[in-house]
Amino acid sequence: MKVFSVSQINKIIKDLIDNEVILEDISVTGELSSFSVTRNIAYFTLKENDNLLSCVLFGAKQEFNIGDLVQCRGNIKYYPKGGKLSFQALTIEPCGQGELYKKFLELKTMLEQEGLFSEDNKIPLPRFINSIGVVTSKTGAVLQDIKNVTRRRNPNLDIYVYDAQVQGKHAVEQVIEGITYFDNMTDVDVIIVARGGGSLEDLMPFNDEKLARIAYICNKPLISAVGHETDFSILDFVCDLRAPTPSAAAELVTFDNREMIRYIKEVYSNINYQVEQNLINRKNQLDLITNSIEQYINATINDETIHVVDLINNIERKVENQATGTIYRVNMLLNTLDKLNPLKILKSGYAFITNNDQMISYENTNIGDSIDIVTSELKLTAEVKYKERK
Amino acid sequence: MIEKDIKRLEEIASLLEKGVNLDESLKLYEEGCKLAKACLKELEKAKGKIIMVKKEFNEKDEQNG
Repeated sequence: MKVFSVSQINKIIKDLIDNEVILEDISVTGELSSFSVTRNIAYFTLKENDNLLSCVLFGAKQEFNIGDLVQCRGNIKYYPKGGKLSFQALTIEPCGQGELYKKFLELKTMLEQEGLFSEDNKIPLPRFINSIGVVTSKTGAVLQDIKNVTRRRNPNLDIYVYDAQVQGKHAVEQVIEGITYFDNMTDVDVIIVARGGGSLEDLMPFNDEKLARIAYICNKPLISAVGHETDFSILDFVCDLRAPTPSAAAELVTFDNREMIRYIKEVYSNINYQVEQNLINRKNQLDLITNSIEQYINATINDETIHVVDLINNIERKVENQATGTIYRVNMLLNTLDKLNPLKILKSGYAFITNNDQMISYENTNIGDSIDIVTSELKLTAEVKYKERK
Repeated sequence: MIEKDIKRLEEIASLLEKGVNLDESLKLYEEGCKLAKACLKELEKAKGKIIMVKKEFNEKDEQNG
């Protein structure tokens, strides 16, 4: 029997493992049964059935979930201090289901960047939907769920069904055909693509790029009702409305009578308001026109009044001027006449002599005649005593 | 009518501008005064008519509204 101390045997184990070529640069695939990161060091356990392998990775960059299938590359190391054997991983990558998920994420990122998920391009649902086109498997329970809900909420809703495989290799092609078929059908208001829940593999047709692009260019509102509430597919992001379940989609496309009555009331009051507004607007227009006509007439009358007053003032002024001129002329004449007044001459000592009211002359005057003498102050009667021609 | 009166007033003003004898000008003045008075009266009547029509319109409006 060989006797060792702990450190001695640990060193031997370490040397054995370190020198074993088969344990160098190996790749191990397994399901994660634990995963935690502390200070950039990931501690995790790989599991296969009831086999476990504890692993460590320095400089962990990615988070993983328990249950993920991963592939690690690295070396097997033995740590004498802890007495533990560990797989020191240099890389860790998803594989299997992880690969599918990776592809899904890549496609999602690409289409998102292209703008296929943009809210601006989403077509709103009509308020009242009369008919729907359902793309799903005719034999599935999903169709029955949809029919049950719609029959309860709106028995008048027309349902068209496009029978399409919703899993398997023909699913993508048939779902695309279904969407295109309903997009071109005038009777259909809204298209629903539906299927029940399933694994990521089952739902893969709804992560197809070609299907995503067809759904994007579809002119009618498209509802995606694929899987359960927790399952997300590319179609969910690109469609106009995502329903958590097929039954929820059926709820979304039906309306109840109360909503219809509310809507009619709303429209009615809106019409009333519009008509009222129209009347008010028309009346205001009319008032404006009437006022402007009135203003125009008043202005015209005022102008004419001013014109008439101006004219008559003008006429008055001219007549007054002419009258003033005439008065002046008459006054001038009066002045002239005044200067020639014979009584004024008498004042200078002259006398006015008449014989029988005739101006006195040699011929009509004889000695002994009575003649009248008028001075400025006196009126005399005298007798002619002497007569001589001068 | 009022247009004709105003035309005549303008004519009278221009005749007086050219110069006529006093007798003539007095005659024209008298005629002008009569015309001006008639014109102003007509214009006042027009104003009154507007007020009346407006009142009538508003009354009808109130009845309808």
